[in-house]
Amino acid sequence: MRIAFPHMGNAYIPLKALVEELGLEAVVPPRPSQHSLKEGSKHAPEFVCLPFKVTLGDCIAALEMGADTLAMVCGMWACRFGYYGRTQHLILRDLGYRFESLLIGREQIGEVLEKLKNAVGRGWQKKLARALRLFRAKARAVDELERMAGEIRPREAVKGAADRLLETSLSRLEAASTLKEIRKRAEEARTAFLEIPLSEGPVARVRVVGELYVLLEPALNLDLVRRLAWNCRVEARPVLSTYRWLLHPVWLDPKLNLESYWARRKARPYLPQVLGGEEHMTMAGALTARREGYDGLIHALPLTCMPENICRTILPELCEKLDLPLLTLVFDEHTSPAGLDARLEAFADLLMAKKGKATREGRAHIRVDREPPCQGRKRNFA
Amino acid sequence: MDMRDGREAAVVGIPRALAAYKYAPFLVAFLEECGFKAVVSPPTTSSIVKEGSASCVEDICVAVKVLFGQALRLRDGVDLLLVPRPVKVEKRPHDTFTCPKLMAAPDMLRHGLRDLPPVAEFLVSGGREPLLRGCMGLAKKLKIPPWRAYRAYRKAYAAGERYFRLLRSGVHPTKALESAISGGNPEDGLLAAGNGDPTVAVIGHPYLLGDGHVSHHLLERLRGLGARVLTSCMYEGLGGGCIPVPIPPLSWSYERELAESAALLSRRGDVDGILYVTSFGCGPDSLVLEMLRREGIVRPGVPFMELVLDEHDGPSGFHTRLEAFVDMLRRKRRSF
Ligand code: SF4
Ligand code: SF4
Repeated sequence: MRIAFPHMGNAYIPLKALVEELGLEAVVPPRPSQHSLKEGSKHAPEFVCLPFKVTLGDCIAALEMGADTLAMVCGMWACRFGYYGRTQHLILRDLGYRFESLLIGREQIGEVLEKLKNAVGRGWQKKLARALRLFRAKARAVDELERMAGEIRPREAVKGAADRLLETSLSRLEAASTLKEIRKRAEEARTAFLEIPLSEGPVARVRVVGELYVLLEPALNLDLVRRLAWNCRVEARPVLSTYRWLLHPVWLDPKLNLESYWARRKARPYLPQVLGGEEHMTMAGALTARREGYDGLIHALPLTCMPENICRTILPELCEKLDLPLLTLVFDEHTSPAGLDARLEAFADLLMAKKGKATREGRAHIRVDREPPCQGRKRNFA
Repeated sequence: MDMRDGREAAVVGIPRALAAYKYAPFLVAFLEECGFKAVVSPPTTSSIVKEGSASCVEDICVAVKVLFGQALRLRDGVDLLLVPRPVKVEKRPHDTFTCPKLMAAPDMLRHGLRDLPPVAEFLVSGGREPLLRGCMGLAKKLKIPPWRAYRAYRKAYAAGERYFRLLRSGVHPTKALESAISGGNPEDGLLAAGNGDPTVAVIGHPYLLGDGHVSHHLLERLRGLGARVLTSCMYEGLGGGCIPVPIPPLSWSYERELAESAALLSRRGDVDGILYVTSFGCGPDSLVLEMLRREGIVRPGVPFMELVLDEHDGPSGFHTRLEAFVDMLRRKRRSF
């Protein structure tokens, strides 16, 4: 079985570990790019959301690389994501590809386990348990490294230092194959991160909320986080993480589920119904941003996204009430980097001006960030 | 909530948009029975769409823009806005939903528009009698005693059924709604009358088909071209059963209904072609259309065309496509 799965940020590292630990082969397509997006858009329905198009491009690339099984999560949610797998596989079959579908969802769990059992063979339970442990450890380590890099990036003295380190440590982590090794690699990276020289000067912090894929996949958001860090000295933190996306549905880290529950409670006055996307995290993220020390909010969404467009109608008024600067970024295949840069810079100027004024007036809830980074890495809801 | 400020009865306004095309007759009957005055906003016009688009985010589907426009139109004359919020509208073992935009319609109005009268919602969300549950929730909000609400519900239920019967008999959805609300006779509204040439089945959400302005008067136009018209509204509320092909498991109830009517209509002997009407940027339809085409839900071989409604496009291009389609069907019929 040569299993392939679409990309999302660095999710491929733990997923690959999971598949390989089961003794199967993982086919990892090249990172999403304008090319794979174009490939996907060619065959996708016109009005479908952006993640569909990119992941379709990934699937095509993986099939070209010789994958014989495509894995995708599925479910009967209110949003489109649950039907991605089914529709994409229909399209791919009509294009003439032959492959096995592995649609992983609550309704199909028995079927999926059956398939795995046949592919893995004797002792599959033990292997699966081991693989899941490894998967969780890697996901956690990736998450931590990403977070540290995100904190250091806007403050680094030499542009690109954090990312170079992130890249080497991620590839080392990818090669690690035991829990002990993972722990060691993570520890090494941690010390290395803390040794990166930093520069002086204020840094604004913004929270990024919005649709999962656009938040986490640099190819879709045109490297939003790096752009903000390098060009504007803004630390941008997504409310969602790959770690959360991977582990939330399988209950491997109950903390995440609790967090989600709280977010729903917070969002209830605004959106009492479950809309199937990340709308609760968006609303809760906006509501708690001030208290958690953010200076602004960026709302990122793909063009025709349903839940996030609903949030988009609600957020402007809410942010005004919260006195929180808001920037809405809508991404599609045609978004241009130049236009994005201009908007980000204008937003960063606004934040800095506001921040300067606030500190002069001595308002307590905005703090000027001079403390060394990576202090707050234990904070969970950020 | 006491909103009468001296007048006889409080006025409750229902924007003619989205799920109102399903529940407005029911709600009007319920409210009137409870001693309120219920008004449904007038049919959509271009100025309503314009106002709606101006006050709403750009890239949302035209149906939501109509909702915003209609709500603004009602703003001054009413004490309360009532918007249905359908969530779980059918009985199935798994969770079912409707489009997220329908499920969040009251929220979008409440937090997205300023200076609006308070927005109440009619929540349809499962239970043994979803409509009764919704009514009781509404009654609590409006301070109607439960016994009175129950009696009103019984009457309203009959009114709702009457409306669905009209739709099922093939009356033009706009006229059916009009006559169900104001009690008129739906004269000459029968779309399926006669043995026109050809017969076209139109599939789409009632809030698109029933909205003359948004759908560029599609149904009348087809009649004008000499076609006999069947619509997916004819399967309104029939709820599954004897569908000839397996329908993919969909959690969107209304889309499932459309898929089912597509399966049934395309297998009727008298249907020559199918038109699927969707709005620009519609979320569920973008995937459901793929499934309809690729899973053989629409009988392979039946001509199938998709029409996209957009508030920016004028009717002329739309009508040209329509004429071409009808001509094609006619030629196909002759050649047999
Ligand atoms: S959340 Fe938005 S982008 Fe994601 S599947 Fe739903 S509509 Fe598409
Ligand atoms: S189903 Fe489509 S047209 Fe209807 S509200 Fe949802 S997105 Fe808009």
